[in-house]
Amino acid sequence: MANAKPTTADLVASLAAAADAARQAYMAALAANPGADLSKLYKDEMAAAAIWSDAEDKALNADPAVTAAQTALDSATKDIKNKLGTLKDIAQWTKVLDGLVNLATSVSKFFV
Amino acid sequence: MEQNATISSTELVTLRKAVAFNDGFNGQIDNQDSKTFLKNVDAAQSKISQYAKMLDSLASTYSALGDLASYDAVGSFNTSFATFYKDSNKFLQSVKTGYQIPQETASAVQAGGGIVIGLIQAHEIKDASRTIRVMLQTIIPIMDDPNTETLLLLNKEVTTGMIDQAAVTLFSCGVYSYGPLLDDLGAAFNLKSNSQSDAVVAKNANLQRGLRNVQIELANEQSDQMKASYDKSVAALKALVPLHESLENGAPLNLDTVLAVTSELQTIATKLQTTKGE
Repeated sequence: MANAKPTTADLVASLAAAADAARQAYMAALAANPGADLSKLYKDEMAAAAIWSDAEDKALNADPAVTAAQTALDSATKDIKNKLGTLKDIAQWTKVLDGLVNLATSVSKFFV
Repeated sequence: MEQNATISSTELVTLRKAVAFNDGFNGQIDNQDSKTFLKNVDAAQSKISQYAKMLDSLASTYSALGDLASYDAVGSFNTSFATFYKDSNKFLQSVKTGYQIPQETASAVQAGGGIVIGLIQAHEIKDASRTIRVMLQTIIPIMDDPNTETLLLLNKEVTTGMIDQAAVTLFSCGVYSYGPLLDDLGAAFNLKSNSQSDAVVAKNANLQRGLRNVQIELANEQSDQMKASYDKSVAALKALVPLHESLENGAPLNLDTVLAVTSELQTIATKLQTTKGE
């Protein structure tokens, strides 16, 4: 849980965790739905990876609102990891990952 | 816990292949996010490569410091130091946009050329030591900053995970065998896979999870070594400062120490030098 204003390292770690959770979600959906079209999930997975890797290359600005954005992203990441063993439906996974990418995008806006 | 590490040039190629396969498999050829991801991974690796280059230049500078003590090689020292200064600036600018080590930090050692050569050399060595120490004290806080480390080192879970994803997808499609991995793992226990092994693995989620974990551990092994090299390099830079202070306070220059420092820096630089240098 983020309380104080996060550093660049904290934020990048949150974005990396989100990207990893998105990948794990894809893998969970693949295991539960062999042969299914997972292209939407994959698109979200790579969007999350691109957001993380872009943040790696940028500096963090000093906006205090970043704390709330990070808290929301970490919460969504945790929620995905909790659902890895149970959620099987691709449409539901897509909805969850779309939300994660939106939150990651909001965090990435604090990098300049 | 999330961990960062560098990846080797071989892994970088493997990562590119894995992302290319994953893109194609999911109908996402020319996916812009994949391109952005790979471009950024490449950029991070280039920064580490430049850091390795800077360490190599520092090693050469120490070697020249030894020469300075042995036969008054001021010109050689200044040339090596200028290269170190240039490589340091190039590296620091890659992690801190617009950053420039002040020019006065890089003031050249003045050639003596007098009659009492021993005393002049002692002065030159102190001068040389000061220039290196000031550079180290500029570089160390930047390298020791967790934010710098985050910008330099890639997240291991994400990068190795993408390689693992391609491997698992390929296996799930039935086009590859886990045989080689099973045999590699089993060799330690004197076990060998048989013709039924893949069919058993395909039906057993626990086995698949275990084998995937072995695969990830193998991929992580090299990353961990690279991360250790980074940490070792920062520790080595820190350990050099008191040596310089002692030298500037009048302690004699120990050529064995210079040789050991040069060798250690070169070893670390080689381990970090994983991608193309600029």
